[in-house]
Amino acid sequence: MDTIITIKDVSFNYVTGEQISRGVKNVNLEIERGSFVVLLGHNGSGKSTLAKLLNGFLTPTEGEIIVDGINTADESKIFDLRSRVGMVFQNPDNQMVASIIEDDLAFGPENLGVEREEIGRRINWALDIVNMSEHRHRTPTKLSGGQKQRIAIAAVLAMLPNILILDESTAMLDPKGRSEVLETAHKLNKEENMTVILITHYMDEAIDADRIVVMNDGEVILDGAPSEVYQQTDVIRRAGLELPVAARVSEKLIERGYPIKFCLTDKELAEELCQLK
Amino acid sequence: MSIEIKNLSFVYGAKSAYEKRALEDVSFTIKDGETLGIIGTTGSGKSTLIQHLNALIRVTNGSIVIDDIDLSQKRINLQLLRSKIGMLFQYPEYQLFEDTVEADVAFGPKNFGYKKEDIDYMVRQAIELVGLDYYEVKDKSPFELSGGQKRRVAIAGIIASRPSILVLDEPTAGLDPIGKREILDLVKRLKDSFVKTIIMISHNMDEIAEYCDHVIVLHEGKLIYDTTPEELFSDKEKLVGTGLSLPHTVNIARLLSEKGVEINESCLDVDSLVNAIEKAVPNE
Amino acid sequence: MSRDITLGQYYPVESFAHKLDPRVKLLLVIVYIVGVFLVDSLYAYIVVGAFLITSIIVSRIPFKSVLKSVKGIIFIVIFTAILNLLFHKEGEVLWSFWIIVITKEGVLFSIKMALRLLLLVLGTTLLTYTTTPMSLTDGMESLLSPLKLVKFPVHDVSIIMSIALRFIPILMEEVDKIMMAQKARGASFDNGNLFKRAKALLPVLIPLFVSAFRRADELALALDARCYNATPNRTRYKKLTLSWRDLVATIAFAVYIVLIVAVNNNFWGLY
Repeated sequence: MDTIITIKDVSFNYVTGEQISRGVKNVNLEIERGSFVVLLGHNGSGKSTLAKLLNGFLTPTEGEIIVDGINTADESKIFDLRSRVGMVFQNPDNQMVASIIEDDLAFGPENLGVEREEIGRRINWALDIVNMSEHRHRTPTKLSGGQKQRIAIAAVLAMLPNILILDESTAMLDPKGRSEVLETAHKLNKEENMTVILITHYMDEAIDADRIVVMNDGEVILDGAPSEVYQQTDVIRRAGLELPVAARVSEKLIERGYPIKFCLTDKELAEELCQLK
Repeated sequence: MSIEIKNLSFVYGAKSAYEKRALEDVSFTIKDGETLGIIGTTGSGKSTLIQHLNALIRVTNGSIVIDDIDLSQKRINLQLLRSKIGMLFQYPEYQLFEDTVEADVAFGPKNFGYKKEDIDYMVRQAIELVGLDYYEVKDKSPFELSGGQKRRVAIAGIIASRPSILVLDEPTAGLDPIGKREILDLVKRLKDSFVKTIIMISHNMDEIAEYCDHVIVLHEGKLIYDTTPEELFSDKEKLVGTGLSLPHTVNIARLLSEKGVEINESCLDVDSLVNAIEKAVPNE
Repeated sequence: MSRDITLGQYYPVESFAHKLDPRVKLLLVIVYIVGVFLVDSLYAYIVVGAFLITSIIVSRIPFKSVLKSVKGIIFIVIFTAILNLLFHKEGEVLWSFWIIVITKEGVLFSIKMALRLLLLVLGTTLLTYTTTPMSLTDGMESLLSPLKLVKFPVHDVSIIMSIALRFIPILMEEVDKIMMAQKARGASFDNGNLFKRAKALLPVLIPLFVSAFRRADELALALDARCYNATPNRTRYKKLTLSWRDLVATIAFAVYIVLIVAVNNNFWGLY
């Protein structure tokens, strides 16, 4: 396995005054280059803390994290680290610095001292991937939430990262915007071999992932392929998450003795049931 | 209180370079005691429509009559109207501003001119109704609370004035599943005990299917359906081209029907779908 | 979303004036203003007026839209004109009543001052109509860049300006939303005396500040995530380049100044 992220015995505590609250504890993970990993958990489960540890916003209280060969605690390499780990946040409005889209995309590479012609090439490429080329010279104000979030993705892509972290980037979007962002993330994963870490509390966004990591109370409580993880329905409910409708229906049918396998999508469930007929 | 909307149209920035038609000839009636779901994609005119209901946008074309208040009249009693129609906007926690939860919840009743003794009681009742411990939170700053708690304080601030109609614009937006469930349960509880009529905007078809008994669909400013969820979701063709999807339970039933497993009942929640499947595909 | 906020009222058409380099435009507006202040004969105002009208035509912005910008200040113009009229007491008396004395010079002076104010506003408006706030910022950054030599953080200032421009419309929209939410809770913003009204704004201002700080927090993270301050050798993607248009415009403005000076001094004996 070509490991791109190694998280070893990592704990992190938030310290505010005298109070110490646990962000994450004893996390051990190895993430494979080019994989699509979904990090699930309810608010306060520690998933966003983990994301912030990955690009050096926070450094572990205990343990160490190696991302693409860089120890996140090494301050001399912090910008190198951040240019390799592109991070997109929740509110699309709060991460754009310029009023013209191409200027916003240029911001990252400008900070890194990239040559003008190269910045131009990167902007072309990034806008093309997120399918927003025709908006290059426009302002973001009139765009939909999904479009704005795709611009935010393009803006980190312009730094040519190897890893893309979407930190609850779908939470504020309508269903259309959510699927736009998800599609873009999957496309990057498939076509550019980008390692994607998607952080969310919507379980249905995790169905197509290579791997799901469920967090609760700062700890990793489930880790595996979607079909394995979803079957742990009790653990998932205890973690404050909601199973997709197809999973809930198939769970009830299995309880009632139906010889079907546990399904995640509407289509899968319909196909299973048809075979019984 | 019933609401009658007739031929309502609205244009933003009329006669300017940025003119935008938001509502076009919308007519429908909301009966007393209903739970109405308003669905439509972003930009379909949902927000414009509900802002008309308590005169945050004044009627310029068409008419709205709420009981005996005619909103197309020039002079209306805004305070009376707004106390009767409670409106919860998206991310309502961003409207909190007072030093304490108690003072914030009291803001509405105070503005509507209730007496001090009444206000104290109303505030306490509202805070308890939304499931918070009155003595624990009343002196806290609203900014210290968690996201879900803030939202419940905001809801308390609306229902404290005892509206007959409660309008909710995506009340669960941005919450995690636990927070979502809590708010939806709260809405249901309010409907059963406190508020007569509920109007809810939601992007989530599963929520609409489960909670509403009347639903309207807006598409590009026009009202394209005014019906019940059973009716609306019975035919997948109805929502084609609107950018809206079917509730998952209905979608599963539809996929089964396509494959020759006929499911005739309306399946608006998980349990009714499971029962329908048991009938259609008996388990030997 | 009830109103459309176009900061600096940029008017999106393609024209000669729109295509000028923002640095050149900024400098030329300064030249124009100097010109307006140089004027001391009414005839020279004709030169300025003619020049302004030509500029408006060249910028392809409807006169109606340009005149709109005057609406906001017309009260100030009239007010100062009346004051000037009343306080200018020397010269040939045209009319007097009680303590009010109106002189011929006073009339001329207040007309001149009113014209000056109007021409200043119209001229600078034309700049904001033909230049996006973004390119104005770029232009200013570029013009201020010599200050880097004295360690003035030109680049940081331009980022701050650019972020301000980006967030003003967002915060304006937020004000709308909060006001609506508070109105729905029975707040009213247009009743009572000044003190009452100011107090009524608290329920809007507090949430607005809270939100602005929250946004600033998130924005700071986003800036860091995009390697802000990674290297002192920051590059610039947008490069401002001069074209023949800028040369033509500069010549036109030179002619403008010469004409004003000439007319002021009655060089051709026109009056």
